[in-house]
Amino acid sequence: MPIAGVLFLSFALFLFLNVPIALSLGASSIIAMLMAEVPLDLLPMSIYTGIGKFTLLAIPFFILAGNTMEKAGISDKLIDLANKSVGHKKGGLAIVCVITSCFFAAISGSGPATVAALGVIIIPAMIKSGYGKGMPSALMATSGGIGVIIPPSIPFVVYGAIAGVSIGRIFVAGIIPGILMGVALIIASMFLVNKMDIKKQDKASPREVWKSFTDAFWGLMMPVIILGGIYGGFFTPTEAAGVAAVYGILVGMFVYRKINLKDLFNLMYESALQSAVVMFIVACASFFAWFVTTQGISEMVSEFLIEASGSKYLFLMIMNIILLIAGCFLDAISALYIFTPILLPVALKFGYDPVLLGVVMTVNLAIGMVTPPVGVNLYVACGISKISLKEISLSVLPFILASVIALLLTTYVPQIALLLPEILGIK
Amino acid sequence: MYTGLISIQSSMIKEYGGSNLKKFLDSIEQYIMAVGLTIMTFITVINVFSRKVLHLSMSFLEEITTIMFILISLLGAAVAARKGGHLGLSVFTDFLPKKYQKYVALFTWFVAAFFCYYLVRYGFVMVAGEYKLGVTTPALGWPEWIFGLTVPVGGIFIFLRYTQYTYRMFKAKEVE
Repeated sequence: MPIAGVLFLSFALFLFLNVPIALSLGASSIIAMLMAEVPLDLLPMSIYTGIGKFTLLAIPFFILAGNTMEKAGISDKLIDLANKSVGHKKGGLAIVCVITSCFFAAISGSGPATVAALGVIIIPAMIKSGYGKGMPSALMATSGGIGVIIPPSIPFVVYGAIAGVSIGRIFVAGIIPGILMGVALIIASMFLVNKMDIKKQDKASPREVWKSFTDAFWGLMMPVIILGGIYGGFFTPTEAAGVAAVYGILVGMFVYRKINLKDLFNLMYESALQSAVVMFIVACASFFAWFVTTQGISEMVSEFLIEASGSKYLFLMIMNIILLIAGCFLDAISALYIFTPILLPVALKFGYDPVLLGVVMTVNLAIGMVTPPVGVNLYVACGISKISLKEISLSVLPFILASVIALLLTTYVPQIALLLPEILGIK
Repeated sequence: MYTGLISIQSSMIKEYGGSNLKKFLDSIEQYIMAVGLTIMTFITVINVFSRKVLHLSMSFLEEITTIMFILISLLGAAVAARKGGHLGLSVFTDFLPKKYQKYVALFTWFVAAFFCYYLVRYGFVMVAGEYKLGVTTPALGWPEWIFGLTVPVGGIFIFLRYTQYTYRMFKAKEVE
């Protein structure tokens, strides 16, 4: 099919020539449409409706909520709490890194945001305690990926919008796989730490731990409000994101007193800008996905996949390999738009739960955040520790391996993701 | 998703002082985006409050939120274009010698111009159609073409900001 060839080749050409992913998706679709003589009248409407979904409104709100809590100083408090609780153990700071990432993930829906917020404190502290230069940045970058697996999560919101599955259900389904990935990372760190000479910290008294807990309390309440609110039926995930943002503003202004009106203006502007970068990808990617679907290209690839794999288990393996490779070159949002229309029909055909498919895809793309060359988390971690991409790429290998093990478990043991929503009875 | 990335990339491009008009445009963008997101956030929360506490559904407000969302997304895409904040794959072009980097930017400008041309052209076709048919929004009953106008206008902004960014890349190299 020449149209499909033109579409994917021009997209790859633009991508490799450093044209932003969003523009590459939009422009290659236009070229293919001109070739196929499909009228372009639907382009503006597709961009308009691509962004203007009420569900996707959760994206700016969650970004705002995360930025607000960060500005309010919540990352220091979470790190302090984790450090007082487990910091005295051997390799304690590595555990602190993973655990705070899990908690911060429950406030923020973004991988790079998690790395940026926690990394500035944890990475220098780990280097100082003797963890070497590459390992702390690599661990922080990989732990940051948990940010999109534990709810709230921007990729989950996007997948929910594309696949039409309940965002509430996929949010809960992400909790255990996220924790599992954290455990895998801690185990990998323990192997690495064994050979290192690390300065130990003094054990904190229960009183100090309690003090840290009360300091971090308002931040820890955020996930309770978001998840509790959704499951208590008080509000939709989009509204939960809005409530979380306002909660963050109130806590930052009146409890921690770190945010004044001028900061608030800047927070609003920065969050709007960050969400616009995501939404521009969403707009162009949904246009691309619309074209691929209406031209029957995705259907063709789906049918090919069904025939080539033949069984569910082989399909899942092929899917993971494709997504891991795609994750090296694409960001999570565009990958979701490109691959969901192809993979969802195959998954349904093989009786694989669509919510589970979303979780597995997101775990894949979380690993994609630390696979060079396009690994957004790696860039952020390198920026903090001032080491080269080459240096961190080597250090990150054991953590990628650990994450892939967690990925395979999540893929092939459906209960890991689906048991929690089942128990809680969330549809 | 890309928190932190914008600031890292934007710091690579030095901001040059501009005319008052440019400053005015920059701050207009900033105000619309900041105020827009503030209104969106509070409307959403007020909606929850009124539904749960006052048992009064104000779901028609969702239309205002959605249109603001489209507006700040397209405007923000333009701001990110000016700052070089859109995510791309620079790993291959990084091998090129420094003096050729501006041509990489020029290529992006061509692609941006190509995309924006069709977005703006057919955007106005869409707006004209909505105007002629007198389409109104389902909940508020406002003219749809005003909402639709965000797309071509956003396209114009994105094109202008990419032009500005590319121009600055060329100017920056000459200064060196």
